[in-house]
Amino acid sequence: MGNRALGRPVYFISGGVSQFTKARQDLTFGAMVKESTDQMVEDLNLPCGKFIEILRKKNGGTKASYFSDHYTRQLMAGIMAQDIQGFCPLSSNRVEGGGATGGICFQEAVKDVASGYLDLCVAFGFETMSHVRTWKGNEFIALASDTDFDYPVGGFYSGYYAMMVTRHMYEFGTTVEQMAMVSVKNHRNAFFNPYAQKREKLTIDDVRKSEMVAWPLTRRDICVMSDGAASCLVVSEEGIEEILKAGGNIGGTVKIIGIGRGTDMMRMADRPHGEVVLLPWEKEDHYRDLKYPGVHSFRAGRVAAREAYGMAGITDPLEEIDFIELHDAYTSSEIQTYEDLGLCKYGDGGRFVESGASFLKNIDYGFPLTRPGKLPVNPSGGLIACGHPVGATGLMQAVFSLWQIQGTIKKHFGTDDLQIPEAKTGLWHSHAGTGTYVTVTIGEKV
Amino acid sequence: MGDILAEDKKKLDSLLKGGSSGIEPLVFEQSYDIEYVMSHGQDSPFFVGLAFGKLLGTRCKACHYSYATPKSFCVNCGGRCSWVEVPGSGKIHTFTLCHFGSEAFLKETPYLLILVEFEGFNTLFLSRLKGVDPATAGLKLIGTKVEAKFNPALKDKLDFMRKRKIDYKRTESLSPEEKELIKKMEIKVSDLWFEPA
Repeated sequence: MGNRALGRPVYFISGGVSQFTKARQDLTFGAMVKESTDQMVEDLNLPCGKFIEILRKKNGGTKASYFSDHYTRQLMAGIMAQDIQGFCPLSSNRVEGGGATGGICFQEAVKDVASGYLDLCVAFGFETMSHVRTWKGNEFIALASDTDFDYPVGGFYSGYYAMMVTRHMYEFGTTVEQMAMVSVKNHRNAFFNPYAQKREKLTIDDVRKSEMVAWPLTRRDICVMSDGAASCLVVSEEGIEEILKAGGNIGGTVKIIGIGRGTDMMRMADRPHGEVVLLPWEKEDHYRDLKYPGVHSFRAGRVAAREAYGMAGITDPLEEIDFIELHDAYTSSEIQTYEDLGLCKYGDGGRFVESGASFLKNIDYGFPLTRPGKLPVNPSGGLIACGHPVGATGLMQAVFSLWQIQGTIKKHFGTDDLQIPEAKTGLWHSHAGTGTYVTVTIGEKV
Repeated sequence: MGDILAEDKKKLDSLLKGGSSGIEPLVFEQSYDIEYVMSHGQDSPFFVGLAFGKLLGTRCKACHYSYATPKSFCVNCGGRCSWVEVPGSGKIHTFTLCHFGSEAFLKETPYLLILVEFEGFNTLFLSRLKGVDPATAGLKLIGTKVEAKFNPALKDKLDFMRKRKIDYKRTESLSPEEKELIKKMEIKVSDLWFEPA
């Protein structure tokens, strides 16, 4: 596999997030997006009229990120969100790829800028999951699995992930307590994130004693349905110049140094039993008897990581990356993703969380950790605590990553408890149902 | 009359003072029912097979990779696959016990879902596990031998088909009446489940 490259340098300079919450009945989806783009523009210290003027003058465009037409009950919702923000008649298109919709959208914006087609691209996303009741919402999401073979037997996403982690437990000895540690960590981190939907101090016992959804996953192992929106501004060097020329002010510039994307088959039952996709520092004999990816690992995540590391020139993520925002729709999938990203060997994800490596050093989680803060994962609280308004999620993760690298967590969260000191390089990861689409994006402080 | 209108106008004006902020969001409910006309297309023989009490998979003619859940085209080499019979018994590869589910399945909870592995097949099959007390479900279920069970409601129709020695792998060989009958059977993948062998 050859290393891929972006055609020209691409920078991520501003972002905004609407409050993630169970139901935003005060705003329609387009106005919710406007809330997040307004924040993105305010951060540039520009009036929105001036910003729109720059987009129109200097090859500006947008990408709309939303997952389900079922939730909006409105086709062409993307253009409605475009027009409410004053972005017509600029170039735009909708992006959709299940849970990874936001991550894919961000990368499509990067590619449009890298190719020279756009100088400024606004990637905006939203979801309005409150429009239906919880178990109807689960049904909509289940329709994003094979409706001929998987859905009709009672298949739904918590059930699919439960089967995946059950096999992970069987193969590698992963425990429900290790999974619960992820939930404690992400809820506790979110305690300091005002945008998060669930800001809770939990114990391992609270997680295990919460209502069982699909064994071994309890309600607190699983993210919740949300309404929310997020926006990111991705630009070329010319785009930056134009913003500065107009009197704008950039709070910190992040260069996109790596993007990668992988896919896998929709039906878990079809996942092959082949050889491990190795990262450059891994050896075949690490995994002599492991049938891969089976249902315990996400091959798409591994392929995305390998591509992004290759482009960014990263050969030791534990040393070269300062934090990760990853798609923890389930505590189990956070553990599985540590392995896909090569933070530890396949099978060691449970022990990785137990070591404390993915926790923040300065926060008290209520239990002792041997190696806290080696590589914090989901310092924002992740999907489990922030919420998962699907089309906004991957963009929300990008915005929180930007603020980490900019060192503006205190400005945005009102407290610097979650600020990782001198964060220079961050990785954000987006993931669709059972690992069908996965994106990995790496950004570095300029 | 004029007074009432003036009174209403005053109310509205006061609500709109400072934009629309004086008005609470208006929340409303509406339903959206759809009857879809779907087809199993090239996968149809699998469902016809269920009516005959057979589990059908496929095998690639070129590279011989085999699929316990049928695929008409090989995911390894893009070649065409042919229909083959999957053994009626296999082993539990993984499982979960669902206490919740999509809205349509909530009334069936708790239920067990399993992925089944079959000797000689490269991929798995998702199904329900019945005949096991959910309270006893645990990791020890993995590796348990299970066998396929077919919905007995299909049986009468099935006998009718058998009498005519219909080749269920070749739906084009069916007469119009037989095709009509199979349509009416409304065969679903949930007409098949597994129980401990």
